[in-house]
Parts: sequence; structure tokens; C-alpha cells
Amino acid sequence: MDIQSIEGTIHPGEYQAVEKSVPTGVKTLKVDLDWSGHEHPGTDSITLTITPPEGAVLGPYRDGVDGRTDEKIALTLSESGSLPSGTWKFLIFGENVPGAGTEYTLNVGY
Amino acid sequence: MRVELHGKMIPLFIFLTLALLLLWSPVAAKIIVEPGPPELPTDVTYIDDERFVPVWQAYTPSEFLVIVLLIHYPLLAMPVELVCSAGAFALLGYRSSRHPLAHKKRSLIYACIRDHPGITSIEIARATGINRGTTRYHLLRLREAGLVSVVHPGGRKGYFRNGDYDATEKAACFHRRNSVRCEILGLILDGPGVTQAEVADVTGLSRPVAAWHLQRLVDDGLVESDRDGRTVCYSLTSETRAVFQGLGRSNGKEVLGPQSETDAADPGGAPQVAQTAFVHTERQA
Repeated sequence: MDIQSIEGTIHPGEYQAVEKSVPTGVKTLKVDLDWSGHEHPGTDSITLTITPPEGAVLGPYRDGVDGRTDEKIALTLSESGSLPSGTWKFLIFGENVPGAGTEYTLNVGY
Repeated sequence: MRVELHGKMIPLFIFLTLALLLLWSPVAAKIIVEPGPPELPTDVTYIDDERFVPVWQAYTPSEFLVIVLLIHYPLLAMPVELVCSAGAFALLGYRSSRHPLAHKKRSLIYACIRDHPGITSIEIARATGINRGTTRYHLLRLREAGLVSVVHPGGRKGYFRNGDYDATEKAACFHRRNSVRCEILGLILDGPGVTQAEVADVTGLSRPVAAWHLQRLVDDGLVESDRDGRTVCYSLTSETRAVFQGLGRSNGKEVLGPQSETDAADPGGAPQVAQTAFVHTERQA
């Protein structure tokens, strides 16, 4: 299966914004931010904040929010009807990462 | 007595504050967030319509301030958001850029579409001097705001200001931006029932290329074909004729005068727009 994802490198104190278009009629959204597998030692910390097209900010989320400390943030978003369609904004913040930066991938699916 | 009253008021004040905090939360109450699966699921459709956007472009200053506070000083986020929503930025003279045309480059792109209906994103980028990626981004925003629409959403997109044109007018504008199809439309307007071979002869195109252009005009409902044995004759549809008559000029050359210089011979090639076509727009900007 061809998984579409956006990849980036986040540096200390840096903010990166990603926009993704969510179609209408989506009931659940799976968000997966993964910065594991880096070669440098230690555990990095990245935060994820999600802003739907309408409404307030979700987050910030950190590693462990999903019950696992694995340098990944895996979330399932749902709503009783369907989630708002349009441009969703994802803000990634390099909270505790090395100067050379940490690579990550952000996948969002429905 | 007064001291006693104050003593009773303080817990009440704390209770009300907490109640307000619970009722008002920066987290969207309707959306339920739960832990996801540990591995990437394979049974979902991943969104490929995605892009990095400069933070200052993606968020308004107040939105970004609230998010930064939520990350670093969560307790300050709520009071700041309340202050922001109360119009503190307006008092400080900051003008929100929420209006889709408040952005300078976006309004330039919008003006370019208004002046050149049917223009493509590459042509807009060339005309305005804005790079292609930024142009595409602002075009998306204009479409989301319902200010512009496109023809040929699946292929080379021609952009129009919303509300100005119907489907036939859009198709006519889009195709007359291509000098070959513009010439072909002129030929058919002057001589209804023209054949593919005649089009090829007059325009100097090979017959397959002439056929390709004619088929595009047929597909978009501007031209209708009528097969007579082995010969196919072409004429304008009544809607297309009405569009050109509506312009108030019977002279096909004038109505169908090319709006842009295009690389006509190659059916798959991208039309090359002459810089001069947009001098007026650039000066306006």
C-alpha cells in the first residue's frame, strides 16, 4: 500500500506547520507522528498541536499521550457526526531535539 | 460581619472560576481524541493533499500565540485567548488577515484572474512574478474561499473569478487562450461545416494534431461534429455562437483574437505566454 506522508526535520525550538485537506464525511481521522529510529542517543521530545478548520486547538500532544513512550504520537480523532472538512493544520514543535534536528513523518488517514 | 462575608465569597469565586474553566476549554469539546494503534494502519486512506506552510501564513498571530502558550505556559493560554477574542489586537492597531483577499500576493493573483479569465497557474506565476508553489497555494485558498473556480480540474486548470461566466463562456475563454484552438474556432465561426482536412490545411497543422485540438473543443461542448460518410464536419454549438454574439461582435477575428501567445503545435506542450500580455496587470499591481 502506498502510504502518503509528509516528512521533515525539526530543530530545537522550531515550529513547522503542515496543512492537510480532509474531505467531507470523514468520521474518524488517524494521526500518526513518528520521530523514532534516529541514530543519535537519547529520547527526543516533539509536540503536536492540531487545529481543525472550525473550532479550537487540540493538544498539544507529547510522546506518551497514547499510552506508549515510543517517540510516536498515534491518535484517533472522531466525532458523533462527521469531522469538519477542509484544511486541518498540524503544528510540530521541536521541544527537546538535538541541534542537527530530528527527522519525522506525519501521516493522516481516514 | 464583613470579614465573614468575604470568607464565604472566596470559595464561591473559586467555584465559579473552576466552573467557567470547565465550560470554556481551548480543546474542541465535540471532537473525541483517543490513542491510536501502535503501528500505522493499512486499512485507511492516507491524505496526500498536504503541504508545509510557513507558520505565519498558516496561523493568525493570536492563534499562534495561544498555541505557543498552550505548549509552554498552559495556564496563561485561556486568559490570553479571552483577551484576543475581546479585540485587544484591534485596539493595538493590528488588522486581522482573515479576509481571503487581505493578502497582497493573493489579491494580485485574484486581479490577474479577473483580467485574464481562463489563465493557468503557470501563466499567473509568470505574469505576477510570484513563484509557482506560492501561486498554487494562494489559488487553493481562493478556491476554498469560493472566489475563483476552475475549468478542467483534472488537467491544465484555467481559473475564473466566480460568478462572472457560465460553463460555455468559461470553456470559450479557456480555449481562446490557446492560439491554435482560437484560430480553429475562428475558422468554424466563419465557415460552419468545415472538415478536419480543411482545418489542417488552413492552420498548417498535421491532421492528427488538428483532430486532437478539434476533439478538445468537442469534449468541452464548444463545437459539435457531424459525420457524413468518412468526412467529419464541425460547427459551433448554439451556446458557443450565443457567447460570441453576446460579445456584440460578428467579426470572428476580433472576438477570437488570441489573448496569449501559445505554443500551438504541440498538443501536450505547455503554452508559452508572452510577457507582453500581462504588462498591463503588472503595472496595475
